[in-house]
Amino acid sequence: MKVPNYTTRMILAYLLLALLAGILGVGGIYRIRGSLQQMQEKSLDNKRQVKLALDLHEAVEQRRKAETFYLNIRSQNYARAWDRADKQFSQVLDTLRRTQENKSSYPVLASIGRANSKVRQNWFVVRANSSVKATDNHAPQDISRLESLIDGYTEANSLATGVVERNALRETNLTLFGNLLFAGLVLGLAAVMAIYLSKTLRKPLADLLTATQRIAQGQLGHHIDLDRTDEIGALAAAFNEMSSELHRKDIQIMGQIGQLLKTKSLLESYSYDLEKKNKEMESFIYSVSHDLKAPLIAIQGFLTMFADEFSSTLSTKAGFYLGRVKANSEHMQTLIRQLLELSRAGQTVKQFTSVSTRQIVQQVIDDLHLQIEAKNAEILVLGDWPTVAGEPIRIRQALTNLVDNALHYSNPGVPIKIEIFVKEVDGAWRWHVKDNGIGIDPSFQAKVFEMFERLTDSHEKNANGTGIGLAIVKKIAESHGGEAGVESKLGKGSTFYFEISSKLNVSGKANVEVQV
Amino acid sequence: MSQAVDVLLVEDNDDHIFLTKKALERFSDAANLTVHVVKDGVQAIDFINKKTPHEGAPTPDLILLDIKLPNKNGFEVLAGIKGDERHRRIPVVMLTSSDADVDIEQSYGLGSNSYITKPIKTDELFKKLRDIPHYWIEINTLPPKSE
Repeated sequence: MKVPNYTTRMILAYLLLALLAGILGVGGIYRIRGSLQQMQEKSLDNKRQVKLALDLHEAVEQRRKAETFYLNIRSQNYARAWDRADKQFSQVLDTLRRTQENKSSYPVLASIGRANSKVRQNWFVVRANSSVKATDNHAPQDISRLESLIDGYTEANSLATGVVERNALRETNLTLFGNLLFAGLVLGLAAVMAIYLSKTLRKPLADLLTATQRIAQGQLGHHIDLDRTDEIGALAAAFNEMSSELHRKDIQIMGQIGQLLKTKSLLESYSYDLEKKNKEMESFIYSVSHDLKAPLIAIQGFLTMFADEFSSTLSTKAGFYLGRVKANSEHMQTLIRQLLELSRAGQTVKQFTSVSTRQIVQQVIDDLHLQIEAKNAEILVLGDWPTVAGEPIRIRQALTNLVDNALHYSNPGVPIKIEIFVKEVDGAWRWHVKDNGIGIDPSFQAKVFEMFERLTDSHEKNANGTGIGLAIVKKIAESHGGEAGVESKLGKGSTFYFEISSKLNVSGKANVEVQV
Repeated sequence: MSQAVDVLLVEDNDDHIFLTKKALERFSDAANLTVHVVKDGVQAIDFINKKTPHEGAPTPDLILLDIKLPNKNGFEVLAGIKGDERHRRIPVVMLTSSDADVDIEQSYGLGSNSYITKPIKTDELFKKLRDIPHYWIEINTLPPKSE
């Protein structure tokens, strides 16, 4: 059979206690009620006995009276009355005898019974004597003896009643004592149960609490030592399982964290490698450009000398060829210069300084003044000129490229008009260069910032572009946490812009991630 | 301007050496100029310090210094000259193909007296040489420096 589990045991124990208490209460009540009933019965019985005694006494009196009348008057009427009284007396006596017959078990009542039979015996003697109706001398004697017997009888009877009452009282006391004893027993049982509860419930609960606290403190895997098959045991087992699971999970998580850290350091090393490669690439471009420069400079030098010394002796054709060599070598020089600029533009900005936008704009206009004058262009400088954080050389470079572009891609026959202004847009300073030039077809607008992308236009000879200028602008914007873009309508002009983040810190390192 | 002027050209490219010499020949006082050439940075320092094989070398009155050089680059040579109490008064003109702002800033930061980008435009070269008053004052008005 399955062992009753803990809860069942506890419920059974409580039911038992309740049953015992119920029995105690009901039994006590019944016993006390019985005692009281007995007492009442005895009391009633006693009253009946006393009445019988009184009846007897009355009967004796009647009979004696009738006898006296008869003896004195000797009338038949009195004789009959005497007989009647005699019968009455006999009846009473019989009744008395009957009532006593089933009371013989009581020792005190037994003595009463004995007294009664003695009364009867004597009375029979008296009656025998009196029936002769000639023994006048004996009659009063007998009667007085009878009366004293009756008195004794009455006394014994009342004595018996007292005994009965005492007995009833004793029984009640006994019942009360028994009940008290019983109550003590129930209390004792309750105490045992309390101890049992404490041992079987409080201690494991306290253990559980301690274990839970240990787990909370990080001792994952801590176990409770509790060998029980009931719910408490099941709870402890579940707790142990949970603790083990936590421990397992903890190890797993630690492993995963380790894995993550490994991945992180791997990524960092990749990132480092990438940065290194990037730097290598840039230093490669820088170095190659420089190396390309040296022979080009020699070519240009000799070209100059050739032109200086022999131009007068050259045919027109030879002069034209020489001019093309010179123009192409200059174009190549521009290409190389811009490649170098591009490589510098992509480098991470080491430190941002305070940049006066007005000063930058003025420098750019000064740098380009020859071209501006040659093209007879109108430059309008508009709006406010805040001081921002950035790298002045690169910002100047970007603005120069945009203004240079605006000067190149002009509408033939239309006076060039260029507007320069700086506006704050969505957390960035946006530098605008607006022209009234040829504009850009919408399908090309996204491509113009890509490297070596150039507008194919009929004025390419004048434009002299390399396809790097806008790529440089884009890189400079990105190195300042911003973007570069264009809004344009074909034939109506373009507005180019580049942004530098307004979240950059003067005097500190860049606090935005800058794409390179 | 009858005094002899010794110019030290530090340059590794033969064509550039030739072209630079040609440019200097056009200078008004070319007859008085002696151009000494060394082809790397270490030689340049040795020349100034008259170390083997430059024992009899004169102290140059002007140094034309390229940046991209073998063994020791132009910045190192410049720093060596301008950090040396005996030589720091010798005018140094950077003569380089780089027009990068960083290179220009670094040159002036290290104490160069002028900066010229190649290809050499003779007008620019002569203007800048004249813009070094210190140089002309010294070689024209002061007696030759003692060793």
